[in-house]
Amino acid sequence: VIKKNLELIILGLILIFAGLLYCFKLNNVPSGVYVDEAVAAYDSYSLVNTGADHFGQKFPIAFRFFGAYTPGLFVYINTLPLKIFGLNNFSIRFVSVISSLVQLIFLYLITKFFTKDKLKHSRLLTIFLISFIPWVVFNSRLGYEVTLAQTLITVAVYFLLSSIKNPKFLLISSLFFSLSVYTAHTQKILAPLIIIFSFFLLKIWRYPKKIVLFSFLILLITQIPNFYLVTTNSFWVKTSSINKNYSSLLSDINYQLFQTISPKTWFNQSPDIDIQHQIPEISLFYSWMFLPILIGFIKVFFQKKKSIEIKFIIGFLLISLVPGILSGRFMSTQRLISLLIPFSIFLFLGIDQIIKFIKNKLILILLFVSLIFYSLVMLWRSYFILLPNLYASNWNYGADQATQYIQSNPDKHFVIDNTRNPRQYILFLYYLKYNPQKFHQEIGDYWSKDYYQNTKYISNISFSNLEFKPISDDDFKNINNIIIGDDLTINNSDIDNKGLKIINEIKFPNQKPAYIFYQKK
Amino acid sequence: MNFIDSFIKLNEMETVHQIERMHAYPSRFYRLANILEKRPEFIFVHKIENSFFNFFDTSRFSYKPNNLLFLIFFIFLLLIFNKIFRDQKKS
Repeated sequence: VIKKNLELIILGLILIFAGLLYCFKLNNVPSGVYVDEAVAAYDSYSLVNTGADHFGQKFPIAFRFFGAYTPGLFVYINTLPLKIFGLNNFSIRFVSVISSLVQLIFLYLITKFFTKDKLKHSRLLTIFLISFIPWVVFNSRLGYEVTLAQTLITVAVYFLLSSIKNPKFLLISSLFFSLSVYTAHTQKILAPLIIIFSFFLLKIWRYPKKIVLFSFLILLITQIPNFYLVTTNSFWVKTSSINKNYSSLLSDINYQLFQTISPKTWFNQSPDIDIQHQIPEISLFYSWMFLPILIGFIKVFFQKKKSIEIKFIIGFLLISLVPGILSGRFMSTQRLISLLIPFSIFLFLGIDQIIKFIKNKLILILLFVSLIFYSLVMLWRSYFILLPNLYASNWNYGADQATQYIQSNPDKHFVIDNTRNPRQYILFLYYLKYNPQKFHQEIGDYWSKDYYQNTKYISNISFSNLEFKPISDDDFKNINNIIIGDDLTINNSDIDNKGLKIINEIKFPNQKPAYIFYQKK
Repeated sequence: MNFIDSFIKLNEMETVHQIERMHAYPSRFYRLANILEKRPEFIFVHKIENSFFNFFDTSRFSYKPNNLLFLIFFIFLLLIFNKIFRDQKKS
């Protein structure tokens, strides 16, 4: 029985390993919560308690967040772990953990289309390697929509490729493509392009007419909410990042293109503009993976007789570049996340070639065991040691301790300096688990009126005993005010001049101040 | 610094980063931190990796907006698409 099901058993063990890795210290690493995580989590919390997001909009199709109008599927799915585990860092990242595991299963299934060999060693080894690639580990532990969206695209691609042999799978594929559009902005560009490309490549018009018609109907019906959104400002907010000036646009595309095709980006140093998309001292893949991925890439591109699956993956690779290339002046690796599918195929083909090339089993085992050991040590060093320490400020370390202090002083009035982080009110809503109904009453109905047309978002705001705004001199005069800021809020020399004293200080792991609490003497 | 030294010795800025990284390790991992951050073998591997990928770094070309490579790459993309559909037509 074991021999018969060996493939399944090994795949199960890989998934258990990956699951443990993705859940290990999930509450504390990264060492805080990024505002994009906090806003998705608090909106899910608000939905569970009031049926509306934190602006008071009942069951939104897209969530305003900080003006991005992110498609809402992730926030809705996030309500399930939130109900089970409560509002905490673990529960808000749990959907991504599960998504990553599902993604691994479907990547494994997709590799089947690219080999005729019955041997499963290279496929299992590839999936094992993919399970702890820095890019995958990082995204599997994020509390927002990118990983779920990528998983839905992976599932859709698997069923699309399956439809070549059994056209019925086109129905499932179109459903998953459609769902992916409700998860993240990137998929709004990606999914239609893949559908159009596949329509011509797979000659879908030759599929049984009933299946084509029903697949089209699935797409059409499930996209009705988006047809409504197209007529509103909210649908177009993300296109504002695309440069309208032709020569600047060309320059942006040129910059993005050369950054994206550079091996340095993928194997050495991520140029992502957002520090909270990065892991210190490591890039998206391990540096040694450059070789197998290059071998796989060459095998795909220079194969004389290309199978339809290979042609699909080439097209998919080129289409996946589009959302990243249109990202404006700054590179965002999260908009290129769908490249994980072609890269996994290249890695698989490269590993397969290496296994076939090195005939000596002992050398092969020694080679991969040492590479796996080296990679896991590098992952542990970069992700579990350096990330929570060196990037603590980017992950808003200390906000939870600041809210604990606020909770223990309910009679005080706190003024929080938001000059350098205008979106930080959401961190305090999240950590305080602030009653969403009360919050709706305090901010009034301005924010829920014309929800999809009024694309403004909150930065300066008051609720409970908290006020978020840039600090002015008047704030120092009130003896009941406690000012919360950082080391740039007030000059050290000004503390005495303004008659202030420091009553509490929360420090980053490197002992630099995260939050300083000032009060009038 | 001679050529070999440049691969195992750190400059002033790199030393500052090395100290920052050393401080990030919990005290129970002190020995491991010394191996991963201070051993010349590890410094050598990282420096070789950096030099290798810097050599192949195409983003160096991105600062010349209208360069020829940009055009060549797009022609390459067009050729690939063209080939895919030509093959498809034949089959």
